[in-house]
Amino acid sequence: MKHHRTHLLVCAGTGCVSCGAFTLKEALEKEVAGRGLQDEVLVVATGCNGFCERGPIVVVHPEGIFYQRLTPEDVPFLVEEHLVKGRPVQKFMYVPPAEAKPVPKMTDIDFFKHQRLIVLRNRGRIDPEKIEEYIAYDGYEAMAKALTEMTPEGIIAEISASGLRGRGGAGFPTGRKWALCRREKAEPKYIICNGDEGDPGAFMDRSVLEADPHAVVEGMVIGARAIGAEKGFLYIRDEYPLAVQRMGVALGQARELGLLGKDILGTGFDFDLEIVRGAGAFVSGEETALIASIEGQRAYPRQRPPYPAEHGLWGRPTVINNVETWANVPSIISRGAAWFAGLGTGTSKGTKVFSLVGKINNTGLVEVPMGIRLREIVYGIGGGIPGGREFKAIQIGGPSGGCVPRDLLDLPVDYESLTKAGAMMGSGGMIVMDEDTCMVDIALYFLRFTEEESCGKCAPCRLGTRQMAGILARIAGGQGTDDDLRKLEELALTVKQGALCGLGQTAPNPVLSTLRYFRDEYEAHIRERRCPAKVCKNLITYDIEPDKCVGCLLCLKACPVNAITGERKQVHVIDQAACIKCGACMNICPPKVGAVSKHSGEGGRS
Amino acid sequence: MNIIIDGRPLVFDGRPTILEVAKANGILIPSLCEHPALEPYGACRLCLVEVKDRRGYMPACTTFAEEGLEVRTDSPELKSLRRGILELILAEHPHACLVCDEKSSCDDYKSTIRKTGEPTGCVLCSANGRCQLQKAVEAVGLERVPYPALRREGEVRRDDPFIDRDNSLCILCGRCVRICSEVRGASVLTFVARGSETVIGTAMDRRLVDSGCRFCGACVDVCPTGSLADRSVRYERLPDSEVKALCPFCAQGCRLKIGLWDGRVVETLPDPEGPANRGQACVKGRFLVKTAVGHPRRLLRPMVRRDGRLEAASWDEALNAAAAGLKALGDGQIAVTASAQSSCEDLFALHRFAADILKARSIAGPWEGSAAGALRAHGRRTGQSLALNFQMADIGRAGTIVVFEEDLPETQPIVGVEVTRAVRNGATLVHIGTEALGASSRAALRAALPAGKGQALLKSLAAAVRKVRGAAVKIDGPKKLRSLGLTRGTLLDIAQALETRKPAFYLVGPAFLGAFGGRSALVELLNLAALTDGRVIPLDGEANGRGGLEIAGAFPVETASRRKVRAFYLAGPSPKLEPGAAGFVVFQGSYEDENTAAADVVLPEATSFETEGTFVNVEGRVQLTGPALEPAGEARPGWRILADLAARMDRAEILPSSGGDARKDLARTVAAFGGLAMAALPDQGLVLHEEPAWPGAVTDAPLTARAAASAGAAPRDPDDYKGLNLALENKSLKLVRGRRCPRS
Repeated sequence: MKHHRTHLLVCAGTGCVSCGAFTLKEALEKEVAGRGLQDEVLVVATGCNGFCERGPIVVVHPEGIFYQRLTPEDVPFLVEEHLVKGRPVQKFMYVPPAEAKPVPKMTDIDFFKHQRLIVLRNRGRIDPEKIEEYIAYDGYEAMAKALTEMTPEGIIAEISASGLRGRGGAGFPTGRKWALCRREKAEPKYIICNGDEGDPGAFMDRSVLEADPHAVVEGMVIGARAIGAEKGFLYIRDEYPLAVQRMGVALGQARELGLLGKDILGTGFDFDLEIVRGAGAFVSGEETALIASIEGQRAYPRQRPPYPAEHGLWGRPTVINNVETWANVPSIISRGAAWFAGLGTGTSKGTKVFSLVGKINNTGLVEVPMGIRLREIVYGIGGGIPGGREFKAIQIGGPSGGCVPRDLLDLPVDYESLTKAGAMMGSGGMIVMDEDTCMVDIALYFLRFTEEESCGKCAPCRLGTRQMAGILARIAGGQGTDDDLRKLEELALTVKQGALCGLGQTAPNPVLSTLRYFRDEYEAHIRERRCPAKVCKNLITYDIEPDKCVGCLLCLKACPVNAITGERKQVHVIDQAACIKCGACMNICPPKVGAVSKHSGEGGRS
Repeated sequence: MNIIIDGRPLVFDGRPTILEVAKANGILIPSLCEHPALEPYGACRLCLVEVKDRRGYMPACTTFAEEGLEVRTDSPELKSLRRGILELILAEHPHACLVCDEKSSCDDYKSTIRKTGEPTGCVLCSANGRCQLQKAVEAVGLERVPYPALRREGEVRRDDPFIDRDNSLCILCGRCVRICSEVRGASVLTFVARGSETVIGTAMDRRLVDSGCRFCGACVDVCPTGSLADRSVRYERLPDSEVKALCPFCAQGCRLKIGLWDGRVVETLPDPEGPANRGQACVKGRFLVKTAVGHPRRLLRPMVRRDGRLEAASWDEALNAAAAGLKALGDGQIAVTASAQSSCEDLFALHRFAADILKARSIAGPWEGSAAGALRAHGRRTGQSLALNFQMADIGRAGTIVVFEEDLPETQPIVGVEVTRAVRNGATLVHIGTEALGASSRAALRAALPAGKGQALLKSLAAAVRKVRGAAVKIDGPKKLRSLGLTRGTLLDIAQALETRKPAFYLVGPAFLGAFGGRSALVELLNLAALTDGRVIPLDGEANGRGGLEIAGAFPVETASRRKVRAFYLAGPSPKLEPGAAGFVVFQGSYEDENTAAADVVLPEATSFETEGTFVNVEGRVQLTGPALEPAGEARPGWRILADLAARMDRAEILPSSGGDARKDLARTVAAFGGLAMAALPDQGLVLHEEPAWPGAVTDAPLTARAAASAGAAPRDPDDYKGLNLALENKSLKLVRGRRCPRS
């Protein structure tokens, strides 16, 4: 094997790729070769680093220098300075918000410093399309251990003892699920990896599949051995082409090395995996719907019990776990249950990957130990709210989750606490909201999402989400009544208690949690016809303040509906009847002028 | 086992759902998507109940009763939840009438005004009065719907035969989609789109008739609302009475519920308690009874030829004319035809009449060419006893089913239902046929062989079975197999299925003999069945083919006369007779056909809907039917016509003088009916005796060439009912028959 003095680790996660990571990589390779450094410097495309906000990212190994937001034009200078002259380039480094000094090393950056990597341990350091690199970091060692040194019961006992719970949302103990399935007599048995990640703003599973596909494969082989399955399926949504492609490569390489297929590692154990590409319905992430989808049926969930562990794929006992759950398995087997159980809280062990998005400085993917406080994630890792705005709430668990307000920033992140607070772990989406976010609008957004994504099978979900979205739209539109709030609560309860599957049962959560913590906002919409965050279009007006307007015509030209009248150097006026509240005038008015203002409430001003 | 529902200790057996236990004990749990013929589904959520020590609410329709379970169905929380769900359902269903203040007076004083294209309220809906949503509203006690009414977009689809589809009334319970795939195996109806946009439709939104629908009507029957409707009923009144009758259009023995208004047929529905059909029917029974009983070609009055022209006459005149004409002839001068669509009573009377009074040359019926007849004849020749009886449910439990030539949804619809059940239970379906047939669309393995190659194929199959068993047998080469319509892989797969998935059933209809090479193919088939421990099941098409076979066997034609045939007594299908050329012709039938014009006397016979009679279905099940309607015009039951005729020929004592007498005579005279309680047939019917050793003579008695030709001539059209071809008479059925699903 060739030795290189320096590795340039180019992040090739979807976020960085969309910012031009592959062009950057080509430019780097060309520049390195152009300077005759190709034997000393290796350019590697790795999986997602998680700090997607800052892409494209290049980490220089072994020093660990972190370069961000690079363009191909930056490449000659970077190579010249860092690789030829040995001077790290400050201007490409990350500067924390509200600070002036750059942080050169990746490990010193707040975003990375507070994370604890198990699932994402190989992110940004291996090429996901090279099995050798995975193996070099002890890959497939856990599988070898499980197949040669452990009994199936032993594997299950280890997983149970680790306290690992399903990372797909509901948090069912993984070991117990496996044990239930192992106990079933029917043959054959199947295992499934649920990679149908559909929450808006969530990309944990995608990142794991793209950055470290072998970890999932290894976890699944171990699981298959534990329950006695010969065949498994990876259900990956087709909107994740890179994940599908990398997983395909991984399966091929694993088969070639005898780590998958017949007689794995000469132990006589046969197991193979097949990729099934999902067609994008959100409900396919529900396990029984996913199973129906693999069977070639319409992705309709069915009533549980019976659970898939007894009656799953083609009626056979089936274990279905989420991507992140599978990716945890190898580490638990190789490092032991006690090590894993040592992380986290009493009931929630290990780590959890979250996608941190919304009004936050450091957007990206983070893996944190269970039990970490929300504050630490938002401020410690996330770097707080941009633009000096106030933190208002954090939406956890996607459309099934709820909004947690500022008062609960010290809430520990574990399954029970989140559920108690009206949110849920879900698959791990975190959307941060600042004071400019209207909670009625947020609830409406999520209800519209679940209404559209409801499969239509059961009446409460299909019809209830529709009615709830209708009422919310009415409130947001300024036509709500006090009775609407009562109705909303009633409906939410009907849907929660009546719906067939998890999608419906949790669909009212965004409404219930916002009603619980932000009822005053709803009341303001209804009683004062006012949107406190100034978001709901029907309840806001834009005004030009005569004493500030300089008559520059900018807003007049920007208005798409010609609602602004005025002459040069004269005060402009907005025709409220014609205004569509797009905000173009406010955006274009120079900050130093600041003549356009937004109001909500009776009389147009508040 | 024991369960407590609402504090009442109840006992149950087997593995019922909570809903089933409740229902059996008179506890009402409202439900809309559940149906006894379908698998648990749990979509409407009205049947949610509380189960002690279980989290949340469980649907009673998907939760199985267990020992010691404690269930509550009526807590205040449940009631309010149920109300909430029903309100949501009604928000998307025209509900003005359901919660109208004037509802009760409207119910009392207004009849349904159904002559409307798009129902916007119950009084305008064809399902008014039997809509299950109405019942649910009553059970839940709903008085208002707190949501704005939403009407689902789209027009009423009226571009199909028989069935109208109105999505604005649909509550998406999915019963139609499920019965179409789970029970009928057609999978024509499906859910389209998602979430609140979901509607019931077909692939590519095509018409049903272009989507492989066979119009069995099962979807209409299970629809809890008026969303799927029988178009002919849409504009009818609600029936004022209901009678049950067997469907005479084929041999399945379906029992129908006939809804009448003032004695007129409004609609026909399959009877859920029908022992053979258990709530299923086909396009003919479901939609065409009306067409058949009231058809303009019905013979309503007796007719007699006077001066070369047929003229209406009184029964006395007609019977006297017939008696006079027949009495003048001697032994062996009269040829008789019988119909396998006549009741046992009629056939018994006819055979006795022909044998003992007319001393007929021949009594031709379709028995020889039938599958059951061929099996029996073969058994007798070789001294084996080949069982003809079976039970529909046996087929549902098969491991492998080989269908030869039959298009089951058309010719054997209820057998088709059982085949679907078997396939759902994991059976392998093999279709071997010469035609592109719809039944093959679900078949896992298929062969399309040229006519006459049946014997060769069956031999190859037997060899393949031996090979699968490990014997050193050579099987045919690829070229030979290609000429038999299949590949080596398919051949071996079929053999593998026959060998490993038992029991194997071989379903053969009369078409088998014609298309597969006659008796020699039958011998090969029986050998293959013996090799695989399978059973050959004869599937004949006519309502009483099996009964007729037994009765005909009890009346061997013994005349040795070789005198010229001078007269015909036509009580069944016959080749066309030229007027004047056939001597004296008596025509006894329900419909005018090509031979009516050649008749000297026409005796109008009642249809099976209008008289009492027993029929033996394809299983060997003896069932009693009717009368459901008054006979049309002056038509009379067949046995009665014959009895009257016998009286006029001074032999009154020989024929039974009532249907009951006929059944008693049958039990005395015909071995297969021997000792059956024919006087009081139970609801489930009785099963014919299988005779291990047949005492009578071989039935291959010499027939006149003409009569023989009439028996097994052209393959019978399954849509023919006593000379009335339903497909030719009904445009809708014609359309359906013209679009058989191509082999897929």
